[in-house]
Amino acid sequence: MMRTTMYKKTPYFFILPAYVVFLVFMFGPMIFSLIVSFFNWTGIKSPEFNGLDNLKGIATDSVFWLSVRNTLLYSAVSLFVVVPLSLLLALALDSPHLRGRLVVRAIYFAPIVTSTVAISQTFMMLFNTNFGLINRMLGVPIDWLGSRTLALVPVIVVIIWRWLGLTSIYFLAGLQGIDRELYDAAKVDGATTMQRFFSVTLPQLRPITFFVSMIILIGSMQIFDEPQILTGGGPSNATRSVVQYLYLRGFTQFRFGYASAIGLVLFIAIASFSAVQMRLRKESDL
Amino acid sequence: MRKLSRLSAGAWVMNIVVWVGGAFMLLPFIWMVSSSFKTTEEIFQPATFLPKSLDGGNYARLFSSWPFSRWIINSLIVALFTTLLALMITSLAGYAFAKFRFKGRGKLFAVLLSSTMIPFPILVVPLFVITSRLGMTNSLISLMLPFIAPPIGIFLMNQYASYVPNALLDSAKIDGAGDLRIFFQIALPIMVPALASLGIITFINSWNNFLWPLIAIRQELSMTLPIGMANMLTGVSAGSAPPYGPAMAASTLVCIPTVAIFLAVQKYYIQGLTAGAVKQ
Amino acid sequence: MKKCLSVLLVLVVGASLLMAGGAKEESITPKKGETVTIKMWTHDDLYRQFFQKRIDMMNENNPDYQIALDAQIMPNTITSLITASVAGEEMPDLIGVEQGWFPTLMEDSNVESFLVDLTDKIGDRYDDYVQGRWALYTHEGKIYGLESALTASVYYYQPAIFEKYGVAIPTTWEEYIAAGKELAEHGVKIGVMDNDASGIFSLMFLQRGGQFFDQDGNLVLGEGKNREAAIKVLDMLREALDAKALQVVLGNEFWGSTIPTAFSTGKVAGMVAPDWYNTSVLQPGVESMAGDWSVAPMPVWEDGSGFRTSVWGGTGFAITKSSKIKDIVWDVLDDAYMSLDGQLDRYKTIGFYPTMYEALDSPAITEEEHPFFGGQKIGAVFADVALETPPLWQSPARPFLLQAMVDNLPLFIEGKLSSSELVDTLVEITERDAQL
Repeated sequence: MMRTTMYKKTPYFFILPAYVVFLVFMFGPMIFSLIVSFFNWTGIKSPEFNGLDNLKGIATDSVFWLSVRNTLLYSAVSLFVVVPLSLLLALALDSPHLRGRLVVRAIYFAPIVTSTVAISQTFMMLFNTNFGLINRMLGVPIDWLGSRTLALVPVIVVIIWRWLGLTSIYFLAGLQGIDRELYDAAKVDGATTMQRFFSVTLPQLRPITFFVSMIILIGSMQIFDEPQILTGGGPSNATRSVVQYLYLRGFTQFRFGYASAIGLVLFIAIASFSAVQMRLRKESDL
Repeated sequence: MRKLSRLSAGAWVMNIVVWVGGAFMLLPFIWMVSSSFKTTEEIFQPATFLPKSLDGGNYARLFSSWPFSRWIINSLIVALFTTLLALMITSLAGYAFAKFRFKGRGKLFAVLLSSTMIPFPILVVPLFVITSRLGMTNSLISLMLPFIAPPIGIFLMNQYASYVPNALLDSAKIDGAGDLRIFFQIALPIMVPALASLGIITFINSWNNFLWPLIAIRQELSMTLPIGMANMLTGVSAGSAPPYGPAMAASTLVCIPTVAIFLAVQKYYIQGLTAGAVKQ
Repeated sequence: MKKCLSVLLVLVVGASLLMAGGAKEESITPKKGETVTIKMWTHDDLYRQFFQKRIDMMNENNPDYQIALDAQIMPNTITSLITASVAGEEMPDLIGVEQGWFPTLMEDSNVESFLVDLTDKIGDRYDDYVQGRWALYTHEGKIYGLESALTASVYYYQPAIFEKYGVAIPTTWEEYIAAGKELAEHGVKIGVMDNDASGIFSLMFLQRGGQFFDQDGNLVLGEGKNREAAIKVLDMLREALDAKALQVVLGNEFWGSTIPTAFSTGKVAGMVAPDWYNTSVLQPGVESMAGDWSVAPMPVWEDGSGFRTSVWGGTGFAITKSSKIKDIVWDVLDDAYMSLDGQLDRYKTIGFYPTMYEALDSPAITEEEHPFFGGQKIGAVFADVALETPPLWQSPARPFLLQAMVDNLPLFIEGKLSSSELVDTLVEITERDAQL
């Protein structure tokens, strides 16, 4: 069991560094950010209290809502494309019939550790109107990055490319955690491969699916690197994410109050998603 | 080959789909490396898969036209020290939570865990203000500090520390060893897999980090690789054609270490990622 | 725990409210044989090269003391300056200010506490330089920076294309549209339309005599003749777009390969652009087309409104208030940017056309034959119109207008916004955002 010590102070010394960092670089800033949300502050002169003006501004800021739409779109793609695809990929990677499994795994997992900047720059070239490989293969000069509707495509492609492996790692771990006896029992009952998938695999993967969905959702709501490099948020904000908008207001226009208020909205959104997740977990007893 | 013939039709389809998909996944890497050897004129021509020659001109230009070696050194320093500090801090805390009973333990741990919900982007404005008030802008230290006590790492360490047998700790105690010595000599060696997992993840995350350095670093010589690279294409002289070739050379060089580390020690990386998922 | 948090809170908020103290007025006079170091911040290495060259020359002729240059390259010198001042870090002596960043300093008149007012130092010599270039660094009537380039605009074109289809080189915008329609029938575009905030719309607008802001920094785009000018320009661009006479490039692709590729394949005949476009994009982009290009003055308006050229971009150099060697820095700046020799040397070293009338009239500029333009003396074209380089008045609200333009010009290009709707949108967004 738990170990008691004669030196009662020791555990506090052990956790002290973590808490100092935590307080100064996470919790403190969070409170700070909350407070600044109610100020008008350009960073040079003293902040001026302006109550709910920032939040009211956000409520009627069409660019903000456009960035929300884009971000939700990125989230939706991640949830409804990346998650199912990665489940299928994990099944394949787990299958004894897959040839060259180690190589395949390396290929699909490597994107996880690749620099977002490097890969976004590469995709920027792949999608280039004039000399990009994509247009070369399609045979038509499509202006991917310059069109308001099409510019979302390259961003989404990078998201799928980068996250597919990550989510399949989780699914793979989940698959490997399933008790083999469950399959054997199903086999004895005469279940086909398909039936076994639906009656054993899917239900057993429910907790992990849930977990993966939350990670993906929360991660995609904070997306920044990919659209920042690929399109800079343009054209006409068509690809700008919420975090990109926060960055624009905060660090190119020096509106710290307004940027913090955007952060506050983002935090509330993410925290409520997380809370809903915890609630659902408890209820379904996952 | 002999084995392939025994595959069922379904398995055939699966193999084909997975491998074709894999080819698509590889495509950007191939493109990146191939473009890094192309001259500017070659890049601006309709796409070809392979460069005309393996000319290292872009790589040479990378080091002569930009302070690329400085960026490498900066990135290395930041990633290494972030990793070392993170390992120290989280293993101490994780161990304390697992092996000591003290007042407020449960609450303190809960607060830490709940902080995983704080999205990093909302911290950038205050972090920028704090680091600049502390006179740490443009310093590599400001790039490390926010990441040296990852709550998820404390959680991981806590899990592993709880595997350390109490009997071992007690016998060391009886031999008169102090808490710190017990931690370093007995607990830490047992926690090595967790340290390896967290270390690799932290190093790679730090190496690739973009948003925070973009804000914290404003001088070319203090930049880390991702910022320097992004700056090559988007910033500096508005008005000159983007140096795609050198940018691809930079991308290639940036990806090599992380992909190599990952391939070498995949197991630890994956364990670190999934430790939270499966157990939770 | 609670106590701990509240203490921290007070600390953090308190620390943040501590404002940077005013810079102390100190000054160092170098002794004989000493070396003084000028710390310089710039976003482009070109400027370092040029200043280094001038300083080396000054050192040779200075028996008293020597000057060393310590240059830092950074993406945005002004945000760095503000950050450094807030953090109490070392500041530069000499700083390059891209004209688009100057407004950041105008807010709350911060420029007064950051940069040295150069108005008196410039003195009577004000009239010797292209008037429009002072406006970029002027705040409340005081000048804080010296401009590096003329940035006057001309029409770069491929004469062979015009010859082939029997189309005359347009001298007015009306002719330009007509020629554009004619060329469009052959699948060739006469020029380029972009969504850069300082791009073709801004160029044509300023040329027609429009101003986004007045001399006091108030937004006047939506008023009277400015609104009319903007709509007139936009209507003309609309007509050209509808006739498919312009190649559209959005976002970063303006600097990318789209335009050079379109030039070299003969799909685009030319482009209205400033002087620097020649040296930094056109020539490097279409190296193989040397000799196939010509320069004509920017088309004018048939009704005689406005100027014969326009401006796009620029970088000014300024001295910081915190510098302890202001006089020495001024000597360097004076030599490099205000002397005839400096202005000509700047053109020779980094390719920017002079802003000084005397330099512009020098044979080194007007008589130089450019092989890329088939031996044409293109300097004469610039010198000819330089007197009419329009000003661009600055405002703290300008960054918001620039962002609004980048964001909304694509909507205009697509036809989602009419000319008047675009102007109204720009005004509305700028007014709104500037107040945040």
